[in-house]
Amino acid sequence: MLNIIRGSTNKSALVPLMTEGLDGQGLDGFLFIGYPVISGPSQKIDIDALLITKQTGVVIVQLIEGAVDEDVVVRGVMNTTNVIKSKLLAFPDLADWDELKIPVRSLSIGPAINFNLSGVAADRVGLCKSREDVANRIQELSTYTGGLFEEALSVIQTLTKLRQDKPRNYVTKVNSRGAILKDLEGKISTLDVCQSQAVIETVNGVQRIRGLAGSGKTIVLARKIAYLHAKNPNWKIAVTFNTRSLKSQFRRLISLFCLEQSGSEPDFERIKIIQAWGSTSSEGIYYNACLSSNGKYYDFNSAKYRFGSGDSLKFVCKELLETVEKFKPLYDLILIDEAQDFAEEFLRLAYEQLDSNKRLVYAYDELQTLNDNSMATPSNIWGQDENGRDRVSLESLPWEPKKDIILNVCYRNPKPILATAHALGFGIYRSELIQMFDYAPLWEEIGYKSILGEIVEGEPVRLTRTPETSPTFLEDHSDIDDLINFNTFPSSEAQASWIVSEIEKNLNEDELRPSDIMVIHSDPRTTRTAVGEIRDMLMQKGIKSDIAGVTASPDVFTSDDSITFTSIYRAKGNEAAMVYVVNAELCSEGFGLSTKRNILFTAMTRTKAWLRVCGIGAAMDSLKKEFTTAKDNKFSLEFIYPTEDQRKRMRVVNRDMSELEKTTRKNVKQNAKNLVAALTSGEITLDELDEETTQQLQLIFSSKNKL
Amino acid sequence: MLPNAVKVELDKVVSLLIKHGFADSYNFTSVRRIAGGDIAVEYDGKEDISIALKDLSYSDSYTELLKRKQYTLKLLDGAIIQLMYRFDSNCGLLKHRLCFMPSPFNDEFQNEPELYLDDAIYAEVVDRRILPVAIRFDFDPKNAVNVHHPHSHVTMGQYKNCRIPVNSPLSPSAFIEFILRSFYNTAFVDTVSLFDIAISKFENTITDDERGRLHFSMY
Repeated sequence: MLNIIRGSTNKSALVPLMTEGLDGQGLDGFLFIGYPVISGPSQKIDIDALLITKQTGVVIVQLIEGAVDEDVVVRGVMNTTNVIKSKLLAFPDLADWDELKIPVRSLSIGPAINFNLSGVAADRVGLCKSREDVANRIQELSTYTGGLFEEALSVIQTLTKLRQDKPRNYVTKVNSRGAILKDLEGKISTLDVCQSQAVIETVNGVQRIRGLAGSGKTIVLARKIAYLHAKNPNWKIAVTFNTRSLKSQFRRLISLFCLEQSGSEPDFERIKIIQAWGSTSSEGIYYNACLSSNGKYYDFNSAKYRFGSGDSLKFVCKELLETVEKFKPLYDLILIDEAQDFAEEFLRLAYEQLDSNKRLVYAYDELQTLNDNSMATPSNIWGQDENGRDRVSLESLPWEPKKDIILNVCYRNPKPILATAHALGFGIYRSELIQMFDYAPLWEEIGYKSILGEIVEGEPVRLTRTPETSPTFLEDHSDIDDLINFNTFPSSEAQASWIVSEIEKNLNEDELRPSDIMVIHSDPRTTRTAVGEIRDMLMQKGIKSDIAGVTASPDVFTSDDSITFTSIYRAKGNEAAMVYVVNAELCSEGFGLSTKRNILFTAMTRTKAWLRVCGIGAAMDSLKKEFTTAKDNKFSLEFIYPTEDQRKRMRVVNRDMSELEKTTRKNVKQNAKNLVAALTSGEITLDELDEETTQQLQLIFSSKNKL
Repeated sequence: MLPNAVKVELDKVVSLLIKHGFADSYNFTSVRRIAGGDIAVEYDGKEDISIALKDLSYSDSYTELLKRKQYTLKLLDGAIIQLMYRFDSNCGLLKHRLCFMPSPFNDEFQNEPELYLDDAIYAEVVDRRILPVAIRFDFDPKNAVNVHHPHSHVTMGQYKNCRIPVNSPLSPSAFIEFILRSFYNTAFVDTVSLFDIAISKFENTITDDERGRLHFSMY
């Protein structure tokens, strides 16, 4: 099928003519509108549209408004053709000496043109004045036999330099893990439809991009910025996020994409990659907003002092929004990644820093927290206007750029690992579910197929991932039991010994590099001391390790010659081929189970290839049982979809608790125990309790039996 | 102490720091024969960039050392520790340099203390009132001058002419124990029973004039 990706173009009047002409031609591939943006020798060249299909190869579309002269048309075709050809020729797989192995031809749509072409020019220009002309031209061009389509697409999407910088030339064994990784890394990378939409489709308003774990969201967002910057070099763009390591990732990727796309470095005076908060030493959205509106600025510590504990950024944004009448527009576009980590007030503040177009792109990994309630709706975030209508809506018509995009293909985790991570995260194979989406269709949006038809509350459900949303090449390289295994140990020494000997094997026999291995601990508060034992044992064997901690450059995560140990906070957004999860039993049961299972989900989804989940004792055994059940079900998720009441109850039971709450609950539970003890010992009898209490107790117990 | 004994003690100390979560990163230390027959006990990958860094600001020096992994240990708060000993061909101690260089950047802790507050290991580090100071213990008998440049001395804050006399060269355990007890006390006190390395001592090198002034001494 033909996927139409609607970037921005100022020749939108001609677009329907083009799309209707292409319709029904049986084309497989992409039509990019307003994309790519390429640099010619002396100036930037905007391509009106680019068609790349298995039937036609590459076709450059010119949209010509008005009655322009013949030489303008001809020159336009020459310039664009040569520039695209030279871009493709630079890629060895596509060239045969100095000829391209894939055809690059033109289609020029100019209904108002008042001349005709003949001979070579006619053939090269492909002038069309109507829909039928377009259809005929496409027929003419459908002579291509389709090979090298993926490669060409990859070059067009400028993803070629994404490959690993460090080739694995040391690999000698045919089937070692190193060899498998070498193969995986060599796979051509191209953007799928959703990713293409996310990169190219530009909205004059708010756009939301949601990404599954491993969906390549960071790459997509960086590509988007590079594209918009090339299209609109004067735009002032701000990019912000929560995890510090993203700063250098974004900077590096945006530079890479700008360079590949248009041959020049991005102008970082126009693209500001900045923190949310900011201070006198480094810019931030909030800080800049204060300065420009002369609103009172709080640094982190004075905010803590003034507002107490809790989300300080929320409070300072709230105050700024309340005290400033009108903000000066500072940016043409703001992109907020990890939006789920920011309070609504911050999103509102960002919205106010934009000009009237309100181009705000917010991206988030809600799907990494397994709870679709964690992120408020646009209606709740930005509220309503004077007429009671939502100020921000994410609905769009089919021919408009999409405002709400979900990246549903997971390119990182093999299917069995992702499905198990979801199973454990939601507690699907646990005695009771822990959490569940309120909005059932979200399952399909994140790439699961509902085998039993439409999802109905209270009814059984069976969900599996499809080969489209979980590419099989990610799992085909190894046996299931090698891809993912759960291991229970009787003690932390036993766990440590096993992990150390496995790591030794990875380095000495499996041809893995230290940077391919990540060890994640389940409890961020005790990570450092908990992994000390393992790191010490590794040291005794001459294997170096680092803890990803606080450094002057928190952006560096892996090291060439050390194994990286990390807590879940620093692991977020990073990935490794071999991942060991330590002390997983801490996420098995207990207080704040939602959060704990979220941590487990995030830890498990860090792997590109192999996963080893380790833990101690009975709590680990029960986690392992959940995994085994998932495995027995061939990694499909089978459960009864909970009703709204059940979901409410789950949220209450498994929520994260404040310290005060925890203490109160502990006391109450202790009191209950004391009551039972007193009743059993005869210290107090049931009759001595007042009647109301006894009746209520009875009611509570009898209704529990009914549940 | 002989070179190998110093390395063994150094390894033990590094191992403890890793085990108890004080050390984020480290380099292995080796005993190496170098030009002229001397024996060096220092971290792998040591580069001689002291002159290149001589006139840089503290933050720039620190950043460069960090980037090039020029340390024996990097602690949880980013502080760099270097332990370097040099012996002559008869295993007599020629010089040593034991440095503690705290990170001049502590934004992270200030900005996200919740992540760190629960763990006692960070107790000192998140305190806003402190001013971390660089400390260096040098043993340099070749350049010794009575009182002005003691055989063994300690420099604070990288002041060029700060050379407080120390009664003798220091072993790895003596230095590390001093740093932990002074600057990471809360966590150290929790784990001190686990720090079962005896503190080895060297022969005294302090002069009477130096002893007659304020100095550091270990009995």
